[in-house]
Amino acid sequence: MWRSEPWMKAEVPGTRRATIIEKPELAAELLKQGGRILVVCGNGVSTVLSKRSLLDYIVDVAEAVDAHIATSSMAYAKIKSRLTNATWISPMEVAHRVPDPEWMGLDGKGAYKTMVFIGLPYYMTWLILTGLKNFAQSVKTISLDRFYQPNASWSLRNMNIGEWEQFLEALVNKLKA
Amino acid sequence: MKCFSIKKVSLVSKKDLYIKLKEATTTLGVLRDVEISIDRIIYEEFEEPIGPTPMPSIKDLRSWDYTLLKRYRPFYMPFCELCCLCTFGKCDLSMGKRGACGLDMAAQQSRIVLLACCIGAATHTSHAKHLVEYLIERYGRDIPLDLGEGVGVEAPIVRLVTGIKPRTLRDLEDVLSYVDNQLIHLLASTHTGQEGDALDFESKVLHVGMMDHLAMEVADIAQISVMGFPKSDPDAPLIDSGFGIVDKSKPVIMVVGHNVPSAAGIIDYLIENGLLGQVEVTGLCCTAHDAARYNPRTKIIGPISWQVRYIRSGLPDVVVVDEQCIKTNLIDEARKVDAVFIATSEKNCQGLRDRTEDPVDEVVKDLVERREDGVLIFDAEKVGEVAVKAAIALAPKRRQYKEKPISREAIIEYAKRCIKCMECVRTCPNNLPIMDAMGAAAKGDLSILSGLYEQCIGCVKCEGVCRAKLPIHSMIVWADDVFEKETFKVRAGRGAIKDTEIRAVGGPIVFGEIPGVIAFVGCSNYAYGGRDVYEMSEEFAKRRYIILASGCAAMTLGMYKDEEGKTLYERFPGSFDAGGVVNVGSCVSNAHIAGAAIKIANIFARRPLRANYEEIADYVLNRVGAVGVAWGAMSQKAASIASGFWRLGVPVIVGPHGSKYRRALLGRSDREEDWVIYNARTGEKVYCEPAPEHLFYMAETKEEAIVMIAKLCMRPNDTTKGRAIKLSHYADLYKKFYNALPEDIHLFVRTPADIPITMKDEILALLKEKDWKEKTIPDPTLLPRLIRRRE
Repeated sequence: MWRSEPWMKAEVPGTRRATIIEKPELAAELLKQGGRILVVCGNGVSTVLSKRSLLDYIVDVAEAVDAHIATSSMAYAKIKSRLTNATWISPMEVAHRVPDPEWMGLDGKGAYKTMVFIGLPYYMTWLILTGLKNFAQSVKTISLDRFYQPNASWSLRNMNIGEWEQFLEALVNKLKA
Repeated sequence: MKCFSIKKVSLVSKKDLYIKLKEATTTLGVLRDVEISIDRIIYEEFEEPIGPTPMPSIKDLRSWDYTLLKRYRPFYMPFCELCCLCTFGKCDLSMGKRGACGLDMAAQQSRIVLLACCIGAATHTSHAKHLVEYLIERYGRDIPLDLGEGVGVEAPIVRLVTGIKPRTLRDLEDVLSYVDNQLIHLLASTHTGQEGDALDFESKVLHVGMMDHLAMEVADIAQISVMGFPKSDPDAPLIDSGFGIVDKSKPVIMVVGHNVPSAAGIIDYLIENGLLGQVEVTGLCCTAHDAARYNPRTKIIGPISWQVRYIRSGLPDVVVVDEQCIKTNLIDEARKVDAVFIATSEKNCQGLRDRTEDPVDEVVKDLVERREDGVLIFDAEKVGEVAVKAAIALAPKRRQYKEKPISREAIIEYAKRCIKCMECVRTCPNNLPIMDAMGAAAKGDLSILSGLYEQCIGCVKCEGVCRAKLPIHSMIVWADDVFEKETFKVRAGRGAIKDTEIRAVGGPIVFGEIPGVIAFVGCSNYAYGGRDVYEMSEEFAKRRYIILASGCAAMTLGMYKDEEGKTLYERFPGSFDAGGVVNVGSCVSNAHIAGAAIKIANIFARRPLRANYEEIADYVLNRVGAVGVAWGAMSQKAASIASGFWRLGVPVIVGPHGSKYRRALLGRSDREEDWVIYNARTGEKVYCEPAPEHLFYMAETKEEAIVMIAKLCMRPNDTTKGRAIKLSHYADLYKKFYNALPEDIHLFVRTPADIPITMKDEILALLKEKDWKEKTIPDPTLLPRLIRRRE
């Protein structure tokens, strides 16, 4: 039961909650069919997991689905060295622009259909997602953090670091396949 | 005819003149049953003519608010998607639905922001009213206001908003009556079925912020004038600070809160009875600041987040609470260590018996013999006597509590009882890895546990959910004994900025040669510990920005030392000048920060001040490179303080927890139409630049905040020399953290002369890549009435 509750106990969500992504296959499918994708990274992407850094997984995901990365984290320089499609911008600022139907995205090529969140403090993601859920309803949001984010359209369940790494590894493999 | 009302002099409710005429023959005819009531007679000594908006009502500055809100649009993040404020509900407002009252989600969020800001402003106003009433009772209404030598503009916010030039405490009552009146209307607009538009709620948020600043200014100029606080003194004394400065051999009194009279009562009693120095007076939060301003022998323990750990240390024999930001179950903590508890504010009675009228010795006896856990005393002098006598009587009986409350061995034993349910981790606001720390501690390794100390905000929620009933907060605090040995220096709050200082630095600030004025303010709800605040302020002090500080942030600045063991207050001067680190004082001293910005417009630029809000705010927004940083903002007061700065044109950055204020005010640098201004020289509407880019911004990390601070210090009026200096800091800081030039730097280069000489080649290359074109540097204004010549 706890695996599908908001990770922070008091962050009780509204009436519509995220659908849980149980398997990497589903995440891969959602991303493949996600249209123009923006990946929003927080400072947590610098976390080193047992095999690779979280950043490596995320850059792999972004490359595989031709996504743009938006971040104001300290990982920006590393991301930019691997990916041209990256912009230094705060997650809040990006979320502020998304509801504008005339906004053409960070690369000027059009609106985003899907936004992926990872690495921000739990409560910041929780709040940004609720902003998007209510004011940018045409955009699908996916949380790839290891904690359930009820305000996303799709979220992973609460899981430990080992399970999470396995999930990300499988996701990258599915996307590359 | 029943009654005349003469608006221009009808400022307050107190009736100074009342005339009733049964019959009067005039040139107009015969008047019968005439009643004339003049609320207050103002003796006009203010040489400056009255401006366009004296004592503005909610609607009077609405057009200015809309000008700001059109550029800095709200981004709402509903912290709660339901509304439960009336019996129609709960109403689900999510996904485009409206409540039974008709309100939509955006309006509901801005309504909650307004409610929070009303709470904050009411709190400062109540505080100011109590202080003014207390001082009038002791010293009389006609005691003059005196902010110190070199301060001619004694109350810039009061003059700007109300048009009153206050001379005495009595004049401050008039100001507070106006604030009361506005707060009632603002709060009323949040009732079901009143305001329904998000932007109009936001306009009211800005209005309540302005009221908040008035109340803060009143509170601080009253206490500075009458209570002997430092008066605009850049060399205000350095105050001993930190846990390690408490002399355990002496009786110890702890004061906590924001309203200084009861702490002053304690100090007065000690002085009058020759006991000063024999009893330790120690404080937390803003009462500590103000008690130290009252008497520099007061010791500042630390910010609000240290309340519980300090009581648990057993050091305080007596805990005296006044008002605001006090943990509301401190009485339970005091009971656990046999310390006595004295509440002193009508706003915070804690269920205690009112002993104000009882004989002192009887009250002391009841406390010392534990007949009562705590008492309620509303008389500051009596608080002083009871607290001191109780502390002296109790201290010898409480020696056993003054040693380390929990041993290393006990911590290990407790840790072994952890059942690894993760409730603590999932409840901790900072998501600290408490469970991992317990696992290591159970094996004898306390390093992870002690490593959590810096990031623990002292909320103690972890203990409330612990299924094994472990004293988690105490285990974190006493996993190491560093805490007990910490000593710091905090410069006492100096109060206002002198007019002479403004004259000296006004030009360099407005032209951009002093790259910015950065105010570190607010509470200690830090996401990653207080060191962030220290590092940010050190970074900018070294770069010769002017650093201002207040409240808990001002304490945090003093809690870290360099390699030579010196705090920022010992390394940098306390003057309002490039490279100064200036503690203005407590929360209410934030008014001097806004006041300094206003004074720059008035004293340096000679803009009319009296009742001339829009013009001054327009000046500040376009010309004064000031930024507020409330890195650990927690309270509703912090929200109302910030909203007062927004209306004045000063951007505010908060830390990650600030996102819980549920609304950002963000500019869109990609929308050129948002940055069109008037060139006051020609009357032309021109695209300017996205400066300042945001009004309310939440940063995730200190590095992001540092870069954003440097960026938000840019103003359209910067000279090329000033802009080159500001750009060099912005680019240098961005490079330091992100290893490249900022991708938006071309937006802030107006002419080639703006480009910092040391970065010329790389910036020119980037400009070429971005297809940059030179722009005119305008005489910027958002107000058509300030255009000098129309073409």
